[in-house]
Amino acid sequence: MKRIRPGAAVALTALVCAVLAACGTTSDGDNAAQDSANDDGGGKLKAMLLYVGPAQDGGYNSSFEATRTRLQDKYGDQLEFTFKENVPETAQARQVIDAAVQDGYKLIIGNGYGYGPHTIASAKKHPDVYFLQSQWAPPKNLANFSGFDLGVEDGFYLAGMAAAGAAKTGRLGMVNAFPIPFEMRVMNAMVLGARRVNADATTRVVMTNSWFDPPKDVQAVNSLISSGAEVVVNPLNDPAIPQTSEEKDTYSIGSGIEHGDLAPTKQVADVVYDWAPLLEPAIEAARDGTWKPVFTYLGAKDGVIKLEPGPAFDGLNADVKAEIEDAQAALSSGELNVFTGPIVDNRGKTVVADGEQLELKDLIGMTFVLDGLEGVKASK
Amino acid sequence: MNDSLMVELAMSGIAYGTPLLIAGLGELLTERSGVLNLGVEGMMLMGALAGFWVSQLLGGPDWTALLLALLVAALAGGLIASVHAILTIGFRANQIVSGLALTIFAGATGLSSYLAEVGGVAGDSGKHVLRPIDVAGLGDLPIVGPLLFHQNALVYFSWVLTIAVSVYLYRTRIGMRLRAVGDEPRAADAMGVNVPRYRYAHTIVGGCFAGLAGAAYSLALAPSWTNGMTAGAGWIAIALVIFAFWRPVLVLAGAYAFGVVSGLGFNLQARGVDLPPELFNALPYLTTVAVLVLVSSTWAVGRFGAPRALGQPYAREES
Repeated sequence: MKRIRPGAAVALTALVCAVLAACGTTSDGDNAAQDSANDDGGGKLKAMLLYVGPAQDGGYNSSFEATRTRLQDKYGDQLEFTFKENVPETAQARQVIDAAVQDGYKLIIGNGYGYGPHTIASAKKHPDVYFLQSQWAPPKNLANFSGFDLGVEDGFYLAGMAAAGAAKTGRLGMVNAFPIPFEMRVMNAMVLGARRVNADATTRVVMTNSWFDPPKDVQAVNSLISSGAEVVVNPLNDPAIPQTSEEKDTYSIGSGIEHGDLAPTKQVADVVYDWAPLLEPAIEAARDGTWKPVFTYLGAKDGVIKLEPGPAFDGLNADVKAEIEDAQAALSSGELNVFTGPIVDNRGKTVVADGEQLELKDLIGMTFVLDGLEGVKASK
Repeated sequence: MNDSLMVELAMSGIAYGTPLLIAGLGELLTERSGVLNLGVEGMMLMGALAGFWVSQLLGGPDWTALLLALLVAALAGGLIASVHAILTIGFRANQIVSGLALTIFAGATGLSSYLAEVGGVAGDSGKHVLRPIDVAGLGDLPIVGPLLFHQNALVYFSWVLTIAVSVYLYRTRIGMRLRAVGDEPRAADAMGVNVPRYRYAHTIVGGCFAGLAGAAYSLALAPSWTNGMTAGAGWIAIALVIFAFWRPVLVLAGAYAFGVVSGLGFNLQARGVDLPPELFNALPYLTTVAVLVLVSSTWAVGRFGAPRALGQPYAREES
């Protein structure tokens, strides 16, 4: 009887630790680009991007990095544009910001939603520093804070078209992380685009409940493919997703940057981001002190998002390719708005009336689920 | 037929069970010598990182790069385990505290993540990947083809390892002595067995296995590096040894059962069973609790207990 005690105690300890380990796997790196930070005179602006994960994450952060290095080259001596990676979305972010302010940084950009409360608190604490924050609107009476959001639907509408064009049966798969409003826009837009090309197309989503977890992402891709998906689309950054699709001879569509190198025969396209239209005006405003607290919603017509053909794009039907090109042009000119009524959700409720377009607050708070989108529940 | 739900589940059971199996066999050897090492998660992460790093640095054909990477992964795990061995065998420190310290030190927020930044390997995709090998062209057979004849080298190796550990424990003289060291170190000592030497050797070998298990993540399952990518597998491996009553073949069965459970959620989601993903993520841990209750029954305990000296430092009484 006595013999079980150590075993049971160990197993329980192991279990508790397993749960803890599964919950918290972030780290705080401290890898800002080297700077000696000894002079900040003469109109030189110091700006810093905060990244939740590694700077080269193969998607979202990598797209910011591409813009950052381009702007650094463009402004030369006038700008010192650096980044801090692996900054957790906790109060620790405030310490990182405080240290940056001490170093003379005047513009802080938080590219993850979870930085919101911390950049707002820091904006109050440091009124002479400007803050640009993803997915948060500026609170009242805070003149040095601006928010932005990405009109991601423009890109995933085109991705949906390309996916439906590549799939013979119209069975599309998506690996996603959480059904937050941003991802609802991704998924609903994909369905609308797919149904424009193939009215019977269905999109089956597998949620991993994690923004970046390669072992889980691979399992998700495999389960989608084995259940019959012909194309796996993902708005995540994990290189394992296109790699697994390529191995399983299944089409893939990704986002952030191009992923053709990871799936050299199967990558149909990528939804790519260019942040210069957001960051350049912010840098200008911070330099000459003309900052206005605004919330900017940027899409294809602002030039931040587009569909970039991949190695497998040429194999699409010529009509589909032409239609994608037309849609891309119409989105860029502002002629086409993805969520234009009539749009009816999967419960038969009209969510966008005929000829109307979704308002900003409905876009950034999207909860409805469209017909043809499987595996996602409306949150209310 | 090879796309059916059952085959897909079995495939993911084997793929995700393999690191659990290898790490579990390692922990089994360590515990059989009477040493409890709770540092498996940390050793796995070090192995995952070391293996991936080396494979990225090496050029040349896949097989040499991978062989070397796996070797280094095993060495990295063994190196970390030797810290535990020195502390608990040499200095007779508390094994639970030392093991936990090891996981914290080497784990997701410790050494492995620091070294990954030094090496700059985060976010890179793998250059050399352990790919499935078709044995004698049998991979296309229905059902058994993909399961038995279309796996990567590490999976085949884990099967050999299971048999080897089994034979070692029950059919060799050293294995018998090892069991004696774990059950009755004093008696073993009286028989002329060098207890500390046995414990050192099996703790370090256990670490090598854990390092290899970590490399299964970074070189096969998801060829890349992410902080904390083993996500608690090391802890499940420790629990697994207990469920398996310290028997190698049962470790294999348990590891595959956990592998199946870990893939179950996604496969059900992909086939239209809409259950909350949070529930699926909790499944491996819920299973842990359920099995723990089962194996705690008096019957099971009476028949198959833990090595009797598990967790107790051994000191020869001076007369």
